[in-house]
Amino acid sequence: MNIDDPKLTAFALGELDEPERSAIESQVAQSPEAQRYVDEMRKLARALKDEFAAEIQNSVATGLRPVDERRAATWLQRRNLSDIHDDPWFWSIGRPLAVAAVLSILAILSAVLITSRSRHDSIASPPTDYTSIEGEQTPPSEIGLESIGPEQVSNPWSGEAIRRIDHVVIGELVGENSGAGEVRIIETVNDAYRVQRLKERLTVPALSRQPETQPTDRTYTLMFVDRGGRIVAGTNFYWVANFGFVLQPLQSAYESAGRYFVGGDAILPGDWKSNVNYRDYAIPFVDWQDCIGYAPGV
Amino acid sequence: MKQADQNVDELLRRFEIPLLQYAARITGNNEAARDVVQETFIKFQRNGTVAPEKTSTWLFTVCRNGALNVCRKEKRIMYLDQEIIESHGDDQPMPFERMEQREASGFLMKILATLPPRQQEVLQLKFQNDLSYQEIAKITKTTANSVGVLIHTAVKTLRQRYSEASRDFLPFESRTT
Repeated sequence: MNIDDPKLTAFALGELDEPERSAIESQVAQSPEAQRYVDEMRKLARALKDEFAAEIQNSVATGLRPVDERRAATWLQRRNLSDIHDDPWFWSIGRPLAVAAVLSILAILSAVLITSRSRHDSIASPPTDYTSIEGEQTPPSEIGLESIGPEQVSNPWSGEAIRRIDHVVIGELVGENSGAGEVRIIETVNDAYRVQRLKERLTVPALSRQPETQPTDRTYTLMFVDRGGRIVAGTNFYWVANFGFVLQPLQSAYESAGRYFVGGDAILPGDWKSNVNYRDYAIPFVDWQDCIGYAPGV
Repeated sequence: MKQADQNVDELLRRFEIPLLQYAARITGNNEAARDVVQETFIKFQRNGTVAPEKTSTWLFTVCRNGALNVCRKEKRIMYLDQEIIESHGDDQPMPFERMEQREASGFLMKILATLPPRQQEVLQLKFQNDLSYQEIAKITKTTANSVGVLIHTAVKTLRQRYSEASRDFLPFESRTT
């Protein structure tokens, strides 16, 4: 029996109706290979169900929360509005009254505006105090920093840039001068699974301040590249004593004739704060396997 | 009070997180997923005439349409275009005997994330939500046979990649000072 048959998978998952199910069942009974495949599929199905169930359990912790209270309130409001559509009182009395009220308010507002404009024509209006207005708003870049802490800065990489990553070029940084240098390419990672793992390393919410960086034997560099060959993110990878293996973000990098360089004027995509020296910050990992999962050049 | 009103709290408890995860997988955006799921439940409440046995299919269909609309608005048509079904041969040994012996929590989901979107979608509908091939076919606007081929191909690839990933990581010689 051919085990590369979608019907065998369907049988294993209980998707076949009679008489097809009985026919496949008798074939499976005569084929140890098919029996093993069916057992495997059922184990895989259980494993997938368990992992999807765990994903649901973890979803609150990972940020995929149901609607929060503010949203729930809005939602409730909208639900109430939807109920109005079925209410005959609204259509016969409430709606005409509401329209009349809105028209009245518009008329009053127009009158007030005309009056105030005629006054401003003759009196210079004082300058608006924008600082007091802006002071009441939280700049978008500051949101969430409270929870990050003083020794951390928010992750500068944008989700959009990370989504565009197609492959990763890994190499050793050579001829380093003030953080700049050429990347001597060791390998290009195209395998979807490994690329996915490396992409995930960039999705932490915050970078941590690293201790005074000691000179290291070697610094490796990871260039995250999109399908068009553009570098969308970059990190150095090295060991810091008493801190761990780190991925340290690169603010600028470029490619020229198939060669990759750290430094230069080309700023990589990201929300880079002008008051942060990103060479002081990194994503720490307790060991190399947690960090990039394998050893360059080994 | 309509039946939909009575059921909506129960349906929220049962379907909200699975729908959020389904929409998030399509849109790639948790915020957008929340909006899509919210709209789905509002539409359900307005509709109010869905037969109980068809509720899950209805919710996932509406949720899917909403999520795809988000992708269209953001011009992310990759999801819609990605119809490629990998069909290379699989001569790998059965790896799941080994899987039982190691800590694999979350590992399988990471491999699943490397599958083409349509394969991820049908696996999620099948194994997270216990939907039949027929129900998945209605939601994804295809045939039960196509769903069968997609699931077969997806699980085959999962096995293969799991096997590859298990031997992918090499020991590292520390180069610290």
